[in-house]
Order: sequence, then C-alpha cells, then structure tokens
Amino acid sequence: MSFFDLCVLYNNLIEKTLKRLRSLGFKYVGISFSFDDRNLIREVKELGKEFGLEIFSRVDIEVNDPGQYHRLASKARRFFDLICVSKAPVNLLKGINLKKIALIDALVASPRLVGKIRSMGMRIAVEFNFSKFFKALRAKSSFKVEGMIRNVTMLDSLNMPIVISSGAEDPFEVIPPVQMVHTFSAIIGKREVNKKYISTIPQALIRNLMPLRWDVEGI
Amino acid sequence: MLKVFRKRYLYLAIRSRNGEISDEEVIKEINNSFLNFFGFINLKLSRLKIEEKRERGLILSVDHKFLKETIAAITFVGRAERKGFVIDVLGISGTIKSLINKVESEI
Repeated sequence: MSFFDLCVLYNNLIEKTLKRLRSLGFKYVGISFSFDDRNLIREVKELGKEFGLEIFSRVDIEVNDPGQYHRLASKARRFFDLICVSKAPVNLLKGINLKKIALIDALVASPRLVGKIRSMGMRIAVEFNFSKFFKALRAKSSFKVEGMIRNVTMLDSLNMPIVISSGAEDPFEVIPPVQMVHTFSAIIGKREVNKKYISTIPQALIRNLMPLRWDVEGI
Repeated sequence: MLKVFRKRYLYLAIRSRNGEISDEEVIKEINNSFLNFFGFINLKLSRLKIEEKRERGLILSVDHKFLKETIAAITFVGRAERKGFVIDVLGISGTIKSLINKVESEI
C-alpha cells in the first residue's frame, strides 16, 4: 500500500527528510513551500523522483478577510498543486467560495462548515497536522489542543474527508504510517484504526484536484 | 481455553539526536507518557514490558486492547515534550517471530 504525507516543510534538510519518508513506506509527499521558494518546486520534484517519491507542492495561507483570501488563493493557484488555509477567523470560511483551496487546517475547520465541505465532495479535506498538534501540546495551549480534537472528532463522525500529515521539518519529525493512524485513532477516541486518512482520502483529493494531470495506480 | 490477554508485539526503533539512550530510559519515558495521557489504571492494564533487545531496536509487548494508546504514548515521547530522542514503531505483530521476519526483512 502506498501512503501519503501531504505536509512536509521545505528547508535545507529536505533531501534527508525525503529519504526517510521513502524508507518508511510513503510514496506521495506534499511539500510546503513559501511563495518566495516557488522557483524551487521543479527542482524538488526531480529530487523526489530520484528517491521514488511523487511530490506535490503546497502552500499554507493565513487569511483575515475575504479580499485577502481571494488575492492569495488566486496567486497561489498559479504555482502550487495544493492550497491549505492554516489560519482564518471562525466565520470567514463560511462566507467565501472554497473552490480555490484543497485543505483546511483542523483548528480552522469548525463543524459549522460541514454543509459547505460536503457540497464540495472530495475536492476539499480537513487536515490534522501532527506537528501543529505537538506544538500546541508543548505550549500547553488547551484552546488549540481541544479545538483540534473537537473539530476533527466531530467532522470524522459526520464522515467528512480528513487527511493526517506529519508536518515534519526534519527527518527526525517524520512519523511512520502505522504509528500515524494508531495515534490519530487514540487521539480522537476511535475504536477502529483506519488507514484511509493517509491512503484513499488523500488519493481521492488529489485525483479530483488534478483530473487529467495526475494518473496513479490504484492503492 | 479462552485467551483473555492477547499480546501484541511492537518493534521500536529509537532515533537519538545526541548519543545512546539506555533501554531503562526508553521504557521510563514511555511509561511517563502513557501515565500523562491515558492514566495510571490504563497503564497497569496495558501490561507494557520489554520482551527482547534487537540490533535495530527493542521489542515491546502490550495487551491488544491497549495497542492504540500504547502507540500514541510512544509517539508523544520526544514529540509532545522536547527530548533528545524519538521512538518509531516499525511494525506490529501477534508473535515475535513474525514481527522480526516482517521488520528485519524490510530493513
């Protein structure tokens, strides 16, 4: 089975991180670039091919108002495969068109968005990022920890598409696939362990986002 | 006879940023993490213990009912609090023999 890790941060340790991801069984990796690093996307995709990985470029945007959202999302669509909203006011996402984005951070995706996410089918997913979760735990930010767990638990019980990712900044932070799904199930208090969060859901998401550009063997 | 306690074996690889880590320290950190996140009663019921030391890491046994919680506690070590090391779970199996076959053939 091939696994997806849709969030790994781009930095000078990317080569080692990719090597580590491949050795743990990941095949498809989303690398988070900043707007300034967009010229490096092709180079990193080539590097991924050398390790037997398929790379998707992604960008995380923080928005405060609808105008800023449309401006940033339109600009990002020209360069990146995936756009993730990592920070936004609670009510903002309810009132805007979400067609331009692919992922919403677990802290931002409140259960109020259920209808909107459902209407988008598999073109949008909620992302649970382990790195952000651990940062919130280290900072003892009960608001963030509770918010992430509450949102993800509720959305999962409503069968919303959720993807889990490591958010690794270096090879040290990469989490093996088995460990990822078991930990996620323990965090949200789910009885069964399901690999769909790192295999079929991200696959369907990418397939719907790039219908003609991305052709992959079935998992 | 009905088996009440079914064991699951986990193959752990310890990745350290600075030097060697003793097995005692590893199990102590896993126990602390389990205690912090899932409580004392679950820790005792999980029957967590080191079974074998291998060249590439450790083999740990746990009650199958507490597998998820144990793996979560292992993930939290070094990640939820900054330590000099993190622990990766490379494989899970019902017997030590199949676990070793599975993990060490892949490496």
